[in-house]
Amino acid sequence: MNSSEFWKKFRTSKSAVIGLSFLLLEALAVYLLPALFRMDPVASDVQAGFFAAPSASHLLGTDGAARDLLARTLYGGQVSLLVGVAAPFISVLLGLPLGLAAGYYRGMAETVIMRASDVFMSFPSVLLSMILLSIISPSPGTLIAVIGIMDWPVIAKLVYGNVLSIREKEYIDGAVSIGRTDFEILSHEILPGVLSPVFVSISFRSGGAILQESGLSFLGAGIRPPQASWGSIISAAQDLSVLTRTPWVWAPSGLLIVLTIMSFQFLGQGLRDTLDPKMKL
Amino acid sequence: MPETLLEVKNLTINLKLRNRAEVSAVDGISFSMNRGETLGVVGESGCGKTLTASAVIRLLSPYTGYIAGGQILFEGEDLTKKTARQMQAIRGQKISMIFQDPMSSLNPVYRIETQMREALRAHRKVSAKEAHRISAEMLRKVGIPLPETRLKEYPHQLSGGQRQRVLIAMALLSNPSLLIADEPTSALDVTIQAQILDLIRDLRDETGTAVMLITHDMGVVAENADKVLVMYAGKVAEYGTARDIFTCPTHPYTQCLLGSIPRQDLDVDYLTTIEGIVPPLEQMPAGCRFYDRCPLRSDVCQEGTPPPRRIGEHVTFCHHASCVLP
Amino acid sequence: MVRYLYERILSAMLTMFIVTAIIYTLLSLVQGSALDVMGGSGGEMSHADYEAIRHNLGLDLPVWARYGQWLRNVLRGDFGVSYRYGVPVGEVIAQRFGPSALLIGTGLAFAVLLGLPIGIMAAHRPGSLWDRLSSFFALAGMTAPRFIICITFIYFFSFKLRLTPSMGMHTVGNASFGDLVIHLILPVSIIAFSKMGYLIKQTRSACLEVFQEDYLNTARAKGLSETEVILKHGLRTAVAPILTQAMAEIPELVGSAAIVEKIFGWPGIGALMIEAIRNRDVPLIMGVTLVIAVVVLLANIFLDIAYGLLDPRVSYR
Repeated sequence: MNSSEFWKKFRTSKSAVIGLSFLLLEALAVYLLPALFRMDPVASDVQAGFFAAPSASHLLGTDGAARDLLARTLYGGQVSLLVGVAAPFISVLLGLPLGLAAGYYRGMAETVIMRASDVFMSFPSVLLSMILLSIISPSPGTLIAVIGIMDWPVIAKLVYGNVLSIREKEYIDGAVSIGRTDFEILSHEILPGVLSPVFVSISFRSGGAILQESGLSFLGAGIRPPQASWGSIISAAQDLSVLTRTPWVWAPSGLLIVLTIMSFQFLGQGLRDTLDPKMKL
Repeated sequence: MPETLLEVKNLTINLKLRNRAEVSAVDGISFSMNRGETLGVVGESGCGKTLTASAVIRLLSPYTGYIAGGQILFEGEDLTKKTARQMQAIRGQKISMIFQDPMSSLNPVYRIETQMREALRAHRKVSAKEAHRISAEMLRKVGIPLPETRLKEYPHQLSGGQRQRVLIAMALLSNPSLLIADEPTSALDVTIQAQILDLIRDLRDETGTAVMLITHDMGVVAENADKVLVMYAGKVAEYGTARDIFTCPTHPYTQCLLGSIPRQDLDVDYLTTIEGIVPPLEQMPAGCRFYDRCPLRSDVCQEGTPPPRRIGEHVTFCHHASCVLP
Repeated sequence: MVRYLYERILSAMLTMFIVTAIIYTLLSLVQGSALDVMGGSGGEMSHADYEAIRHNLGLDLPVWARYGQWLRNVLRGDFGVSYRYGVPVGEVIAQRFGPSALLIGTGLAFAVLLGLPIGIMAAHRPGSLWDRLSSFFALAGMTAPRFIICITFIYFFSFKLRLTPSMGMHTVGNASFGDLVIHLILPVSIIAFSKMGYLIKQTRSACLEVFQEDYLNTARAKGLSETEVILKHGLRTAVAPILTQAMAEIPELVGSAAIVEKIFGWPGIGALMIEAIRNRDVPLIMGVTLVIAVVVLLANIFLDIAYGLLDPRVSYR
């Protein structure tokens, strides 16, 4: 499928187009608006007051340190989107070669890699991430690394499963019979068949990464104030009085998280329907 | 005087297409069957044979099609008027059906005994012990060795031929008056095919169950059927007794089908082939649907559906009907 | 079968060994600072005291030796003493285990009771209004982060509508069953809601596949009612693949339950773990880690066996 065919088909999926447009608009907003309007996410406006309700000077109100919530929500969006887009690439960087090796070479490689991914997947990733983040200090970079590492087994298993089914195909036997090397077979015959499910799952994993990041930051194990992320903004709502009396503190970030994750989900579904509706994920 | 068992009048089955349009995949067909008789329904894939059979037992999925018109008179009662509950009582008891692929027609997670008992209990109260006895007896009848052992096994432990025998046994448990067999042998090895067909014929002779045998193989029809319904693109091409059809085929389509089976009694060097395929439902020609592929076509064939030509019960829908043996 | 079970348990124990070893090693990197937590903010510790405590806790030994010691103690039933609470880890966990089991168990039960029928009905009429509504509902359950659902639910149900309490397991001084049920409603419905999303989706896709099978038509042709056909033949065969997928999600279920417990102040093991990690309470973290690993692995073995019982084509060599 060439790119013009791809777009033609992709455009027919309404939800995918909506998801992609939302994400693009959101990215433009969180990266451009703060710079354009010179917003400051850490400056306290004591005059406006703590937990001030939305007003003309603070469109979304202020938080517990009298910081402008609009600025914090936008800056927070930068972190969340960055983590969401970057973490899956770490997972792919680890999971793709490991999955290929396990599926193609079988034997020892298969046993060790698949066993390792079982071990990884047998423990709640939130708790494991929290333990890791209590050792290394949390920052956007370390969050990307931790969340990316947590997800490698998902990609590895996906690749592994697809390699196993491609290996059965007769054109692989054909390639072997004409004396092509393992590397040639892997890169020419197997990799192309594996890439599109990986591509699709990146979109799904992006949503997952944002979910993980916001959860960790909410629990205080991720991004911490004064730095902003959607999860850390919402963590103020762990205080019952903030939760009940000042919903403007947490509601916008909460809504943005949900919409962003859903958009990635829609985008992923659209990509799958475009590339191969029967794709195994 | 043979008693009529099934009489289908002007049956039309419509399919809903993706663009919400509708087409008649089976278009006004009529035929009848007597008790204890075998009717062979022949035609290429996509001719509406399976749809017709599914309509008779009222198993058309609402997503594939529905009965848009006509009557299905079974033992004098119109099946198209029956409620779901009434049909449930008829299915398996008076009308049974076996399907094309025995490998996937038995539920893999239940033992043979469970599946047979379920069929029995759908229609009468029997104890587990009694059900076991009846099932074993039935399996023996269809030629399965060691029925007691087989009953305890799961479908994956049986071969394809054995599974089709089990399905036949299951279908005949309540001694139905009609058995619909939808290409019962096309998924089986050639050697097994003949055995299964022989079995069906023997059981019919023994129990008096009428058989609607759907196939694309004229040879199978020749050996088994009393009556033949030749279907083409959702319409009847020709209908008559096996004797009529095989001694005096009048529709060019029937003639082509007959010409495409090898025969030892004739000294021919080449088998006939029919060029092309059945036209898609959306692109049916206005006149005779066989027009594009017919060796005898002429201008008159394009003007409306050919009228029936009858000699007794033998009907042909062709302007150029003439008895020609290939 | 016995041999298979034996191998499964052996491999589960190996997994457990690896998980605890990895986490122990990671934690050893922060154990020094745990001492600071224990010393308290005001407590000035002399260098000699510090060394003495380090020695008492065995922190001057290499990691592998300490892990070996921990493992030996665990096998003897001794999980160590919590840095934070100063009581044996076993006791703390024993107290917290019941509430977690109650919460997760009830949530899971509701998710299955509602999710399966919704998924089946969606698969029975694909493309229908019901199908589209339920897949949107499922998507919402799968994608909305638990903590946001928790906060929203508390805001609307506890605060705006004043229907249910939002904190803890009991009102102080009231240990009645009714009071427990009222406290359970919100956290249970959140766990059920998020788990249900996956279940609806998995049931739908498993059923869609099974509903095309020829043996469903065989069952119809026998004269079974549509309900019997769908439940006894359709669902029965679809259950096995649904189970496999459920297996992969148990850790995720435990993780999301931890967040729910934390927000609702539910005295469960997940909230305990989050606190323990925050306090760098190594013995407690290790204890909870072990318990969670055992639960997950046992559940996996259980589901694996259930799969074999449900699908006769599976043989346990």
